[in-house]
Amino acid sequence: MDEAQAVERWQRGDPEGLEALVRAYELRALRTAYLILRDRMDAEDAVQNAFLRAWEHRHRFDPRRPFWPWLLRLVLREALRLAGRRDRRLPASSPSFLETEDPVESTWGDPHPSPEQMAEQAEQRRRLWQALGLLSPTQRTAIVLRYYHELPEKEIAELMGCTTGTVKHYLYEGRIRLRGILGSPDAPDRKGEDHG
Amino acid sequence: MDERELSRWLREIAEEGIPRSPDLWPAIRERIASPASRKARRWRSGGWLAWGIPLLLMALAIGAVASAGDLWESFVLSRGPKEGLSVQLLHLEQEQGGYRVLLEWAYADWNAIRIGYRVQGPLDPGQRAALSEVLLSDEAGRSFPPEMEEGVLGASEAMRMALPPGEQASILSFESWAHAPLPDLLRLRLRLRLAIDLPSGVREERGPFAFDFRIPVHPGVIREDRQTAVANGVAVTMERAVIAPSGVRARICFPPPDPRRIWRPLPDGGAVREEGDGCFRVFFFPRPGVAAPAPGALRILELIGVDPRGQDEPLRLPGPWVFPLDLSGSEAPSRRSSGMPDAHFSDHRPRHPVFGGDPYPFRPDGVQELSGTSIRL
Repeated sequence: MDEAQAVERWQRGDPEGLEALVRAYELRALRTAYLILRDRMDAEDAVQNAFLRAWEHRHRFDPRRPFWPWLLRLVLREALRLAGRRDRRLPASSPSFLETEDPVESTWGDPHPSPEQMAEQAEQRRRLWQALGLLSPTQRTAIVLRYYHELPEKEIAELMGCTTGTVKHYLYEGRIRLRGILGSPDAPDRKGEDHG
Repeated sequence: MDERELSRWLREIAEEGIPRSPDLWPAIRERIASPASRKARRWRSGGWLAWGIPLLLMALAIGAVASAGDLWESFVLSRGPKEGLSVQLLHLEQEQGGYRVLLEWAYADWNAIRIGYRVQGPLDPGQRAALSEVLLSDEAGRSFPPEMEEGVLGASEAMRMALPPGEQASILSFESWAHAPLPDLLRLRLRLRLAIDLPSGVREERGPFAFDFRIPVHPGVIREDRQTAVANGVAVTMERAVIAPSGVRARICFPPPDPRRIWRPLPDGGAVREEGDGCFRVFFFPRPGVAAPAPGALRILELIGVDPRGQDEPLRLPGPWVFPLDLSGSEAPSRRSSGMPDAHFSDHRPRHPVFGGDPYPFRPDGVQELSGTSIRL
């Protein structure tokens, strides 16, 4: 079943259509939510909720448009809602809160790195993971969309439901904070220019 | 690090955290099939990571639970009374705007106050009522800041657990550390509002719901003898520690090794919250799956200094700074806090699991078996 067939069946209320879409996009959606929420279980909750919303609001989807951006918007909304509930109600989870759990293993690296390079890269990733936890959920979302999905600011603004100016602000603040932990990127805004 | 590296590392972190497709379809199919068969979900809020997970696991490990009332009573009481760790059953309820809040039980010690409650209302499948406001205070005017909420909703055969449609259950945890020592009995008022996000995007609120109740307080041990440990030329002082059945909390302070940087301690397990003036609150609660601190000690592994301008690399000063804490209950008189009256040492200590040497005082047998189903330890 290709995507068009899956969308057509999903919009008719056929669960097999939704199943095909879940199987096609769950990994991408879950990794996105994981980077934003920094918790696998929360990420699964967010993605499950997003697919439920997709099921409930399937008639609102325009089948002439690609499915992934529409789903991604739902995933972001659910992830930010989960993150917002955590942060709004409970001051302990504010960005100033440093978690010491470190799920990032130290076993990955370039294809043929030296042991020293591997150790350094693993350390950088561990620090990046901690640094992401110091960003606000919206800053983290903007960073993930910009650098993980490599989207231009205009698309990020559409996905997050805000202006490109707001996206620039999120990215700027996010990069400043990341630099504080990780060191200075070579050219802070080289990829930050709006491609759209 | 350049931006290409940032992109690559984000991809690698995502692939490491989620290495393969997780097969969410069975759970989603169950949730769209019917409200009655929707999958149990859990949520967790708050940053004191160590706390709620063992409690929730205990809830899930209870076994066949036909009614939620049994659930909340049994999972705490399964270990509580016979170990001298009892909760106060409340069975208070209020209803407003179609939503009913039921306060089922409460527990208090010198570190934390915990409340089990349920919400019943016209909730759609997968929908839950969040807290838009929560305040806990006592008759003396002390307020206890909320730390964490953890809960479940739905039904799951795998977990052998069932909450009826439209019902959710959760545990609220508040910090009482700052007010320790507490009196033997607390008269508390809990005030909360519910927020329900409708599919239309509109947020509805219900409340306030207000409950007055009294609960006994389980005492602990307070150490205020200002232990200082020195490593790498930096003196770190543990100004105060409270050891109670719900965990250990300590306030540590150190002068910034470089005042131009923002410094944080990195403990060996647990979590850290900044208090200002170079001081931090450290919480830990030994549990499986986490690098536990050395038995009977708080260990600070590193001090990390960040350049607020974002120009220089962070500095990491290795330790460790080690502060012995007696968790065994056999503390010798000579090691008690200086100047502390005996009243701060509980007669109940030897009977508490944490003081009796159990490293995971709230963990029932069989919790590990559940870790592979849906809960990550």
